[in-house]
Amino acid sequence: MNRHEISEQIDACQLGQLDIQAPEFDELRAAIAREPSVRRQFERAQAADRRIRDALLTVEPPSGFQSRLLAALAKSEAAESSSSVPPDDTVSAALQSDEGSESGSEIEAGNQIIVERRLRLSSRRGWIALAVSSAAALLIAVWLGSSPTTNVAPGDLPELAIRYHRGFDATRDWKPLSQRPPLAPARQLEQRLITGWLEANELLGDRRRGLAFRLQSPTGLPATLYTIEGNWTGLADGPVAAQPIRTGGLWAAAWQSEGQLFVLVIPTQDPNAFRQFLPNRGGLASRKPVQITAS
Amino acid sequence: MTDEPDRLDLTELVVAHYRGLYGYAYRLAGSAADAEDLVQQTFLVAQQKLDQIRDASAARSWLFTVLRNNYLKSRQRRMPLGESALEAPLEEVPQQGVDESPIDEERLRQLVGKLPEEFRLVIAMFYFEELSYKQIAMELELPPGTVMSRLSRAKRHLRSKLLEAGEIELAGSAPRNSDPTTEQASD
Repeated sequence: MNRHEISEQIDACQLGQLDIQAPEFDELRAAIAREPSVRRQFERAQAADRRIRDALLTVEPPSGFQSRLLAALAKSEAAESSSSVPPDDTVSAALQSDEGSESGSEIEAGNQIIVERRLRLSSRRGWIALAVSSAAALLIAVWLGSSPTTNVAPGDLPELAIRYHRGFDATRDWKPLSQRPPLAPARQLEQRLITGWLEANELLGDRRRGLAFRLQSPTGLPATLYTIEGNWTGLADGPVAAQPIRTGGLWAAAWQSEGQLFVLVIPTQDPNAFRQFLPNRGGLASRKPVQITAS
Repeated sequence: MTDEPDRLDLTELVVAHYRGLYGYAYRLAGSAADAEDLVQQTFLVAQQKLDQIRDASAARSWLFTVLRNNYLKSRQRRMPLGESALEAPLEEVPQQGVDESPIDEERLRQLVGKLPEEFRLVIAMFYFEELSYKQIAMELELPPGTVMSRLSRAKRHLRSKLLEAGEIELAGSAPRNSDPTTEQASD
């Protein structure tokens, strides 16, 4: 076995696999026993493997994903169950127009189960489609109309904010801070970095007044701070103590302070990027003057 | 759900495995939305075939296999793999030692995401499914030597990029010119 083959074998070796005496690695084991340089190479490769594996496996699902999964499965289960029950005449009549709707996806028995994106499972029968869409509409209505203090878990707030953020129209003219916003921005952030604000309607599904503040860090990193009035239980009192999520290139963390909920959304995957927005304590914010658009 | 006595509980499966599956899907697909879809599809398949999984200890690998197959199906629908993917540069670098600090997860995500798919796939199967190169070869119906070569090249590529980014450091490794891994690997 030449050195190239040794290297390939080392890279093909699972962590700890050499210890279980897999016969395909007999030669590698012999080389390791014979040559200290091969042993060192093997140990280095395994150490690198361990770190890469640990980093790769560190993927946190979006907040609330488990709940959504279970809800989707329950919905699918309900649709499957109800599909064996013939609809009554009134429902059938009401659904005639849906019978011809294009099937978004289907689950077939056997090995060729193909499920199309986003669980468009129930449209193969119009009456099922109505039942499911009604359920979905109800869920959406509950989500949109609910008070966050009663229906949204604190852990779900960052993800809700990210969803809201993705649909937020930030192309409107941001109002300068000289035009006094009806809600104060978070004191936990460096005030000099705030460059404008906008109304954020139905922020987090809440009908109370919500605001979005635009920020820019000294390094040019943008961020959006959303806020709404309300008292929450189980939320941190600042961004440092908050439990952030990172998903789809966005970082978000929620906290509450002085009767307001705050959610900071930053287009970054750097877990420490939010520190650029913290008040000046000798950090980045102090290194470079910031252009203030409003006094 | 039915009341079959020895049937696995789907909720328990979800709770036990959705994180791992999401991570796998995220590494394969490269986006949170696609990862969510893949995991949902996987559990929907599980829901349909739950009565086939009577051994809880085998559920994990079964779910991971279903997810991988779903991913491959979706890839085939979108964009068949061409030979050109094999031509993507995967430079050879020496084996490097590493320090013990954690690797930037986002940096690694980007690196893995930029790997040609056939390399990304074997890397993901190796780390997430913890399959041996022989098992990967069987699953993908490839010669074991090809899988071994892809694993090696992909790992060296990752190490080289992490080294460039300062994510890993030299730690008493052999001089570059004496390193055996500078040979060109072949598929």
